[in-house]
Amino acid sequence: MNVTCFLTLYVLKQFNGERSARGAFHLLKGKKNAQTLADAKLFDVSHVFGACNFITDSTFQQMIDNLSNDRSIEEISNNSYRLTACGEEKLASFLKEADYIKQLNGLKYSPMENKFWQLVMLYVQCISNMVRKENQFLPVSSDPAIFSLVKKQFPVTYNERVWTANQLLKELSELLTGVHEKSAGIFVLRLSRYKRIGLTIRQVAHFMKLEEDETLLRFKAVLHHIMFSCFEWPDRYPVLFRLLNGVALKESLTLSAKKTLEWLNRGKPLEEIMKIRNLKRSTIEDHIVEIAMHDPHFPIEEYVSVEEQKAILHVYERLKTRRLKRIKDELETISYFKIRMVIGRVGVEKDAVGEASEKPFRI
Amino acid sequence: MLRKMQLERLLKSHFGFNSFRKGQREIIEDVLEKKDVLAMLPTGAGKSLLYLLPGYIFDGSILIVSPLLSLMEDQVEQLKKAGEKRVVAINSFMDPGERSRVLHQLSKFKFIYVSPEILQSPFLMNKLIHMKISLFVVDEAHCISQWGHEFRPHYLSLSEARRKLGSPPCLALTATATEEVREDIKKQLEMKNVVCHIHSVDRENITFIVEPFFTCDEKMERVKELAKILKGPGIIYTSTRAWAENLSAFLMESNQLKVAAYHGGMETHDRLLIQKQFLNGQLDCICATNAFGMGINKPNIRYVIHFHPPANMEAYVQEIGRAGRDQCPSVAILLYNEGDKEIPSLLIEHEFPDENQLIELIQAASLMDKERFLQWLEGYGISSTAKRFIEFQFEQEKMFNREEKTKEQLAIVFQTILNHIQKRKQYKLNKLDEMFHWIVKKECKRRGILKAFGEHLTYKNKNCCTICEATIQPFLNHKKREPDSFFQWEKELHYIFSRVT
Ligand SMILES: [Zn+2]
Repeated sequence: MNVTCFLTLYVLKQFNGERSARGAFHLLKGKKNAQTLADAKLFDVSHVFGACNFITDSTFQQMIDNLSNDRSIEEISNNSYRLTACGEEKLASFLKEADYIKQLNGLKYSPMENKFWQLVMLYVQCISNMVRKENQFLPVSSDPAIFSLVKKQFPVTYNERVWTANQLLKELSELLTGVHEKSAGIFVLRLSRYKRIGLTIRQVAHFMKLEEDETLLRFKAVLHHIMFSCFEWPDRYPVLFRLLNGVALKESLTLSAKKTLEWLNRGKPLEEIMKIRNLKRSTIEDHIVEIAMHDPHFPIEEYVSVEEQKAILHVYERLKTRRLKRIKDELETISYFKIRMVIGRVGVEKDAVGEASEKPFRI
Repeated sequence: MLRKMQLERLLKSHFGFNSFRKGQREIIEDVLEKKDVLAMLPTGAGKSLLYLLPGYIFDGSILIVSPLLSLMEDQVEQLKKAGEKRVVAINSFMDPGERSRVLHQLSKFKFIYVSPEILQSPFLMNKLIHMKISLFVVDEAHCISQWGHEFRPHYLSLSEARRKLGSPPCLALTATATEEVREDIKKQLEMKNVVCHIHSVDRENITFIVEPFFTCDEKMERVKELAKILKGPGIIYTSTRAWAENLSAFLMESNQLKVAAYHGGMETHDRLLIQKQFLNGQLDCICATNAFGMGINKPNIRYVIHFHPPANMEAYVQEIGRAGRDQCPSVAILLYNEGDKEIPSLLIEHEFPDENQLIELIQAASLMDKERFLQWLEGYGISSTAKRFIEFQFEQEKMFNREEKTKEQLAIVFQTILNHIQKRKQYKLNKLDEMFHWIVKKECKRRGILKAFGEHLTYKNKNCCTICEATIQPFLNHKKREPDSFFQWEKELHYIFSRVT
């Protein structure tokens, strides 16, 4: 039996015959509908949500048939299954071995795992080459969005680059010590560096003499572990946190605001974005407010001068209200847009966990 | 004389070269005289220079039609790297915002790459009509010929596009086209007083080896041995995705080689990694379908093995042409056994719908408008080549016109398309026969290839081909492969971020 099989067993056990095998399929596949999302929480299986997003309908059905045939599960009603004693036993011994399953957090992180990995991969490859002053290498991405994210966060001076390389080594060493030896190996083999392009899952599996499914799941578990740790202790992993934040931010924005953010990242001013996207000024302003609320690093000074910020905050503290109309009445010359931006920020700053003062890119 | 110096100055200042490669200057001179030019020259001979350099002399823009997204993007990337900012590729995968930004200032761009599909967009065409297009370039021009090996129906609309643009001078480029196809290119693109620059398809530094086998197992044994003894890097071509996978796993297990599979069924990102590993010299060999190769410019490929013969001579010449671009001796080895004709024959069958399917398709199309039909076609169980074929044929037969068709009319459409299918199938099967004829014929392989392209053999290298008793001796690997060092993640992680080179 391979890992996918065991995960299916696991989900069926949690479902305890109260949901169909179809439900297990949607869950492992990571289908984002209300029912599946509710099931994930209800049956306490949100960590394996989307864990097998590569699975197809027919391979899943095949697996259910195999599990029935070797009497690991039995059908109790139409397409609902229960584990047999034999199935329970197999699952228990698997879970004892597969400690990495616990580090998965699919519901929370699978939507951004791919983007985050792309970003880490290209960033590490760039750093690895740049600290050796090598700027002729084959980049491991062809996605312009990933390039621009890396560019945006890439240290400029050589000294900063060396500092970042050391810091990344520190962060990754620490994070990888927290996972199984095998999983750490998988992750490192997948990274690209000076003179070496990272391996595919299949290649890593072959190299480590593991099954492909297990290799992929272990790899995902490492990614989730890194994401979890970065969100939890941003000041301990400042470089990775900044990379993650770039991705996480985009995932939580509305689609339209995302587009605006892309243009902003390319250095386009508000007026030009209005023209390009053929949208009203107020719409783009809404987007910018939304972005500023999600990203504590968004430079609102470009839109509201420090004096204006002070003035707005001053009124805000005095009136102790979030009602814009009342604040606006006190500040005739300052636009709603500016007020919303600053007031929106007040909530975010608290969540930023002192990261802003850390200034990780200075030596 | 003045022009000669001017050209060389431009070559130096824009491209950093001191002199032209063989044949480039003559073609460029003809292009500059605003003649219609058909140029056939081997891949890697510097085709893009033929329109890039005139771009710096003409005052208008250069429009380049290219069939492959990846090729276009590669070109654009390279040009931008070289400092040319006025270059853009317009294709249907572009972000809509980006596209509208580009289209609004299209005339600012000097080099505009487009796909033949996107060129049919009236909006784009309207923009182009109001600009000055100094040169109309058709890359991989053999795609325009239904007698070519990579026929793309959309290419047929290029003549109309060119006419709409006021018939600017045309430069048609290809690496492999038989005489028949070349004639077709001229006709379809409505080229007048064409100047042809046909370079020999011969690759003097490549040795041709053809080996027969009784069974597929024997062939497997041989390919295992070859991959072990030959000096890499190399490409092994197979006819299907499954074979590319199988062979790569087999070679990895049995030879302890660094081998990877590459085919169109793999995930985009895995494909990218494998491709870059190969370019980076991390792989001894790659087992691939014909999806691998276009746009890959690796000069030191030492061997190309065909585990299955390709479907025609053009494809063969194109695939072996990826070996030895650095002009060093390289070898092309073709292995075959009796049953090898089956897969390509089957693939040819799959390129077209069968009779029953054709009836179903016509019925469906008569009930829907174009958009809905194409949506429906997506989910219909025929190959994507067959889908492209059908879409084009229906367009030709005006199936999507407003007025309803009578039963009789539909019957005529059916018969017309069916005839077409039969004709094309027969043609392809003949091409396949020609390929196998070449394989078994006791004639110098080089002479045979040249003949297929209407050329005569004038020069043979010492190690010419199987028939001329060539050996693979010069291509053997004498260096011992270093075993992998023991892998430890901490050590590797430290190395990644260290400054040690
Ligand atoms: Zn010969």
